[in-house]
Amino acid sequence: MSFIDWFLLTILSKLEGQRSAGGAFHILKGKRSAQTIQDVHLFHLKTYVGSMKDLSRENFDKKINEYIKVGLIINNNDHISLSVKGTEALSNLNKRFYLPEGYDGSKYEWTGLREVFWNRLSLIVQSVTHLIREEHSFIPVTYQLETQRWVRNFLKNTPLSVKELRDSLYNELYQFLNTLPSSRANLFTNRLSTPIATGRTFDQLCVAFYEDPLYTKVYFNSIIHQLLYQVSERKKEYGLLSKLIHDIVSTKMISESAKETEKLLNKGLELEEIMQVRGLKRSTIEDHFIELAINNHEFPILHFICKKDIEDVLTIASRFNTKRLRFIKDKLNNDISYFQIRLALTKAQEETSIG
Amino acid sequence: MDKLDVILEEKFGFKSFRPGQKDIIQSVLNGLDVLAILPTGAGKTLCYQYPSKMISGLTIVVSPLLSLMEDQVHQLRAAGDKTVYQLNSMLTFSERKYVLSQLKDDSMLFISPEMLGSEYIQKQLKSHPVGLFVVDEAHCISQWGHEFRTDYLRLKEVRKALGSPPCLALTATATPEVEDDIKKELHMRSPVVHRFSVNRENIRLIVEEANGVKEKEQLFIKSLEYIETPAIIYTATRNGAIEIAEKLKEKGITNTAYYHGGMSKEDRLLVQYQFLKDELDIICATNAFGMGVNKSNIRTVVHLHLPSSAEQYIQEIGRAGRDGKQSSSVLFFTKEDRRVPLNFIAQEFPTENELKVWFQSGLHTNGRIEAEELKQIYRIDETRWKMLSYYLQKADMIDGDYILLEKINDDMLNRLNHHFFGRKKKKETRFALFEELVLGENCIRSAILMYFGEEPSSLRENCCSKCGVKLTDLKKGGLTSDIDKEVFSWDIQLKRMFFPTTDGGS
Ligand SMILES: Nc1ncnc2c1ncn2[C@@H]1O[C@H](COP(=O)(O)OP(=O)(O)OP(=O)(O)O)[C@@H](O)[C@H]1O
Ligand SMILES: [Mg+2]
Ligand SMILES: [Zn+2]
Repeated sequence: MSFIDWFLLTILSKLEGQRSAGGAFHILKGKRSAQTIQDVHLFHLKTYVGSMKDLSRENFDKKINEYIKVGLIINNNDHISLSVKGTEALSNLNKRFYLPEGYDGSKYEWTGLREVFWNRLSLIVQSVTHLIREEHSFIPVTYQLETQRWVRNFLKNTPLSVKELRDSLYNELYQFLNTLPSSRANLFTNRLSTPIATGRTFDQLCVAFYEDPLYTKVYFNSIIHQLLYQVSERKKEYGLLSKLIHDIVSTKMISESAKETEKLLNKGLELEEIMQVRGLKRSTIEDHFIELAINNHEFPILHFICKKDIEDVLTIASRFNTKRLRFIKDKLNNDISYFQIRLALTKAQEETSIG
Repeated sequence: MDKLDVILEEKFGFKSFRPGQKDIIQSVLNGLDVLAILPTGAGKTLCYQYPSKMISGLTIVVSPLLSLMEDQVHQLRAAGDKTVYQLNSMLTFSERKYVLSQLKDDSMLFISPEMLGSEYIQKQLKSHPVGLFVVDEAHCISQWGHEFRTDYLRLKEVRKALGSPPCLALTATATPEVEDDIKKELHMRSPVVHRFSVNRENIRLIVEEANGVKEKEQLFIKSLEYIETPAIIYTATRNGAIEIAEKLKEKGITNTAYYHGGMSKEDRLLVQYQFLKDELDIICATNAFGMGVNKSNIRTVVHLHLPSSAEQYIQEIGRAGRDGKQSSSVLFFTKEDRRVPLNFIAQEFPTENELKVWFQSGLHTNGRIEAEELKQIYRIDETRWKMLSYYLQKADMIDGDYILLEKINDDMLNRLNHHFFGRKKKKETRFALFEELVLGENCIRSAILMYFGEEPSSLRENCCSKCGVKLTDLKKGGLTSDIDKEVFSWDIQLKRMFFPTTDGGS
């Protein structure tokens, strides 16, 4: 079994048998829906979310079917849980795999920040190392036009000379890599494409990582996460690298559409009015509210549900250790809506994460 | 030296034209419709890049293979031609808008047939006079036209909508029949045909039949003693490519990697560059690799499977010896290998039963079904779906997003079935011809030339395995790779990247 199995089984086990395979898939892919956003918070999946964007539904389904067949997981009424055998398998895998230090899926993968940053960085390194040798024509290491254009503009508009650019880039990378264990630093430099050598694929670099290309990739990504963290914490020391992301502002996971809704809410419009103004369904606006409640602590949650109801929901949820809306509603036995239960559950997350 | 030669050197840095180029370019500059048939690696790109700088108006290049288009565009831009743009489904909407806003009258725009079919794009393009309408790899037109890919059938209409600019079609592999198809599909007006032989004299053609898969592999492994690198090894499947790369490593050939369409874009590019920059000796790949790769010193192309046609074989071995130096192609096969291309052909078309199930299973009683739904239920792939929709549309069986199941009768299904059956037969025949040529006793080169309607070959030496060339005749060239065998730690690596040593040694 390899890293992918560890990752999938970990997610499934964290979902505590309360979600379907599809729900797990959306978390792996980092779907931008209210449901997924809420699940990530409810089940403490922030570090993991959005980490498998390349995984196809087809391959995912194959894996799930395989697990069912060999008895690692059980599909009960479209809810997936780990069997005893599966739990055992996972604890064995835990001895081998883990998410490397500094890895943060929700902050860097889900938002796409790592990808943008790395694309720009690798192209800038390729460009500068060529220019310093007065080689002006080379085939870019990324085919993404947006990245190419960004880097071209950056090089055109920077007040620095090629030599100064080279010095800053070198110094900043050196400073960062110097803080890492050398195996990690080597992994990083081996991915760079320069006139000296082309970057290696994860497949070519996986020897030191249980011969597992995907694990190698996640390991590599964790290095970029660390770098991104350092860059944002110490903008002064990383003057050049911080320019690579300064135009990417909102890393919060609020969708554009939810932001629209938030504006109207702040103007004092009621749910029904927002529905009318925006021409959207009630359920969509409710999804936005959930999204906002999770991401924004100022969200006027008491406007939609009273304190006592919140407490009731949370009590049931923790007493029966469940996050199934239907179950909670049946237990409460009053006319609380699913929307209200979901709103209340956003508070569950906050409390447990403080404790 | 006349004016054309001067411009060649000034604008493109080439000392002289290669055979055929000048005549073709001259015809294009004269405003004629031109069909250019030049062998692989002969320099067809220049035949439209050059005129695009001379004529007034936009040059539109229709390119059927997506990855080929990308490679070509990025290579041209890297070589300094910033007037080159591309439009295809891989771009985001805002990227497309950006490209459209950047176009000038002297731009060269590579575009996929799908994009060109879009009315929005056509409308946008109308604000530029189009000076030249190019179709590269034009043999695809013939094939795909017959399979009713709407976008291909529409090319002639699009051309008309763009003001009927002169048209240049290029390919390396056109039988006389395909030649006719191309002229017809593009509505070419009394076109000038510049046909050059498909023959690549500097590539030896070796075929080796093995008794079973095991023996084939043994033969191949043994041949590594003779095979000159850099080399491409083509396998039928993705797993095949991975396994062969693994085998090579076991044999101590470490400068090797695999390449297939299932890898991430980033990794595919890295492997491609490593190969281009002689950091790899051997690349094991599916046919996803190669079409856009302009590496001049590939010495050997090996096939570990049977290509599905002489065309495909010629295109793939055509990656070798682009520098004109002696090179080889080696095809290892066993009798059973025929199943792969035949299965592949079979999968391209819906069977009689499938058609019945899809349209007559009575699943939907109200006589109509949303096209997407039908596609989903039966998991019909995009290619076959496009083929079908074209036919349904033509027969008036589609209403908006809906398919009018009630209108689909036995007669209609019979006709469809008949058509697909015919197309399948045709492809099977093409494969059979190729198989025959591999299995037969006669000179392979001559057989191929005759397949493309040419005279037999007169090459005396280094021709093919039927003419006496043996695997053991190949000279093993030294492995060319100059990748550092030494492993440097990160700090030394970083220093070497950013601070070139003064003696130029990198
Ligand atoms: N006149 C010339 N002098 C020198 N090199 C040339 C000339 N014309 C083209 N080339 C080079 O020949 C190589 C092959 O050119 P090109 O890719 O256009 O071939 P092609 O005919 O399109 O091949 P294919 O059929 O495989 O697509 C390129 O590297 C190109 O730069
Ligand atoms: Mg070409
Ligand atoms: Zn011969």
